[in-house]
Amino acid sequence: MNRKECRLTRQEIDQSELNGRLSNQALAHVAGCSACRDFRSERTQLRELVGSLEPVTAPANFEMRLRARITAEQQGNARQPFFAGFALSTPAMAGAALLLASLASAVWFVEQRRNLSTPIASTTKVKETQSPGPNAVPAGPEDKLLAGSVPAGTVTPADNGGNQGSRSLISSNPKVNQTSVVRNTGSKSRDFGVGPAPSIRHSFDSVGQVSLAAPDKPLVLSIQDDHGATRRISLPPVSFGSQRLVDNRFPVTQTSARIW
Amino acid sequence: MRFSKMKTNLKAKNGFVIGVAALMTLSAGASAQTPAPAPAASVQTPRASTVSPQGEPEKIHARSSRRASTPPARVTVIADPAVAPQVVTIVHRLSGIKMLRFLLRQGGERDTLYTIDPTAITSDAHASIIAGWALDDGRTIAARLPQAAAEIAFQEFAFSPAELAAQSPGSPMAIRRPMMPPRSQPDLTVITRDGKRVSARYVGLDGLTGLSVLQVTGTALPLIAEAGIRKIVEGQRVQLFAPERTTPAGEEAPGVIYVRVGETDAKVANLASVNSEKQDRLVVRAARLSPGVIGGVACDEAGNTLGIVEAIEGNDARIVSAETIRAAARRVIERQASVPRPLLGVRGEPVDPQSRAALLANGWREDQLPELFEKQIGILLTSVLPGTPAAAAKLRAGDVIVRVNQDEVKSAEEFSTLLCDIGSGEQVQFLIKRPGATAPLRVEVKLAGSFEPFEYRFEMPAFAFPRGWQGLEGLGIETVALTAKVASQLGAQGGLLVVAIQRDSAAAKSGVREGDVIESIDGRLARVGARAFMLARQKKHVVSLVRDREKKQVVVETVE
Repeated sequence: MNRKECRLTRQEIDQSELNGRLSNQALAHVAGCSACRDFRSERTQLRELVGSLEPVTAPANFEMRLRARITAEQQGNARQPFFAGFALSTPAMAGAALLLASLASAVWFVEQRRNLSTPIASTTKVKETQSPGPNAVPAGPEDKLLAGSVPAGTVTPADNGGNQGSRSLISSNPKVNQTSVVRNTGSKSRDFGVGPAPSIRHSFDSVGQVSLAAPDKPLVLSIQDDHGATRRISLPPVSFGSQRLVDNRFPVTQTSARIW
Repeated sequence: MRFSKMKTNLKAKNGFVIGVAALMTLSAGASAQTPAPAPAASVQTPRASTVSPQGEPEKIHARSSRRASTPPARVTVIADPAVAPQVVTIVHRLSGIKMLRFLLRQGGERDTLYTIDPTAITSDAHASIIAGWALDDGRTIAARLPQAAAEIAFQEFAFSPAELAAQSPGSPMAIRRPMMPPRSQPDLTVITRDGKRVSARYVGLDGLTGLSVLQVTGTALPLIAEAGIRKIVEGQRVQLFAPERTTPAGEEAPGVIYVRVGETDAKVANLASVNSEKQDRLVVRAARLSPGVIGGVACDEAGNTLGIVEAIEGNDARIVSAETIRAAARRVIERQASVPRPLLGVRGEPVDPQSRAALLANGWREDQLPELFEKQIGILLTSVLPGTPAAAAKLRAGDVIVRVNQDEVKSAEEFSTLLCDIGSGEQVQFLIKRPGATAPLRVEVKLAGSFEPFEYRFEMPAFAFPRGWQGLEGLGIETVALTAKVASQLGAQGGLLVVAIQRDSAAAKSGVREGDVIESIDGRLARVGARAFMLARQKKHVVSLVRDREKKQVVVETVE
């Protein structure tokens, strides 16, 4: 068994479907190579395990609760002028008069896209169920937030869970994202709809590799003695074996073998 | 529903009107809304953000966000079926606070911390990659973790001879301290030669050998039956397996450190103890050795484990034998805790013709030597450290310990093994020959314990204080002193950074945590090194501390 065969076989195992049949060559190799046999059975178990997982879904009222929370956090803002929900995307843009025209265009496009964009239909639908009809009493500030702060293009965590496509919707449509910003004039609360949720990065190692996160820079510190003199200590982020990190190792010849 | 109305209007009007209306409205809105600086939550620059109670900008937040934005490096361990199956790679990751603990204990850095990136204190600061030997039970792994000192609970540190001297002889506290498992499990990842990740927990450190013992917690490793080692002879070929950095062709990637288990050819240069039946250590010689090979696993040509590399000097590597490692693992597993090296408090050498000069210098006469050399049994004590159990038992230089309980002492290694088998804190009976004495004497000694020295010198917290006073260790706290500059970065005005909390201690029960900055205790500012910080022994102490930049007060109650 050479390593190339192992590598190719494992590549094939990785690319094959669950319960899929391997090529005869690969099967022959697996039959004779215990490492690859273990690898195959491990991969099969892993796939079966993944396949047996229940789909993870958010509670039905998750979006409602999220919006309610945002609203509650925004209640301290007494002054909520018109268009507060979608006028500004960043403070810099707010201050730049030259960008106002483009923002206005963005508003227009947002309105158009809100009605066209299929993946956000569910969000819009929920919103509409909460919105009063045309004859409703003029809304208070909370309703303003509901209508304006949660943008049409915002993908809630429920939509977002493990769905790369939904997340890419946000990044591929920056204008939609711009309108999603809630202007915050003093509250420390965060708008959960501004950007994509933090993603959990899945990285699969190549065959026969195990990867771990590691520090990327040395730990640098300095020590001051009683006389005010300082010393700098730099510890490498990664060391191998018993690499000397501190200067206190006894030489081989001065072992503890004769001290009891 | 202004937004809804606007939406309807926008649809109804033509684009031009909408654009103008929107422009005007936005202008009005912008002028109404933007005179004040943007709020903290949306500002990236630290100077415009919140101000600390001391009036200093919270630079820590800005640094934190910068640090978080940098993707971490990666350590990628490449499988290699050619490696002996019992050799595993261990990645031991330590936070900044543990590295400070490591520097404090192992590096003896007791001075004040002058500068440090505050974000580094709580984040991953170091990854140590070293080989381990998976023993044939499929569960136990022995490895020479270089930062083990940062992982053991500090009450496991027994007294140094100097500290013992400060204790009253015979004090029970001076003899034994309870053994505790580590407070929090170290971040250890074990990777087998075929690239499987195995979860393991840290059981403890063996003080005699300096080896850490791990136990696999999940699926056991495959049982690897090793043949018994035949007699080791000088010149025998040996392979040393130890992880090393590599760069696979075509796989260079920034921020990725590739690791493979390297193999170094060596030959047995000499055997440490020719007189002993047990082969405790041996020395092998290679064409070239790097420090990375320390901790590596030595195997014979058949793939059987000879031992673990303990130290190197030039091209020589000293190896702790497999049998010694097994014994160390048994000790630690039996106690489920670190096992200190038994401390007697003597320096000596085995009795053999080479010790003639030492015997004569320590009171023995020439005509008495043939009898001693006849059997070559015993350990000649060349000095007795004051304040140690040996001194308390009135052992003295020139004494020859010929028997430990019922066992004859045939070599220095066997003496170590016998003491270790008995264990720290236990009573032992020596049979000694003393120059000038007509008959051998029996002496009872209660062994103390120490992790010092094996390869490293461990700095132990001071427990010896004047009557009525105690150090912070008495409350279960181990600290590093901070300058005002570092303290202010952590939101404090000065004080001591808590780097370790003893489990079940008064401090732990009161809620003091690692990473807290102690500003004062009982109203006294904590601005000096912890070693010198003394507290009156009393039932309650009020500790003012800063945690996550918030000031708190904790009452630490001690139980007599």
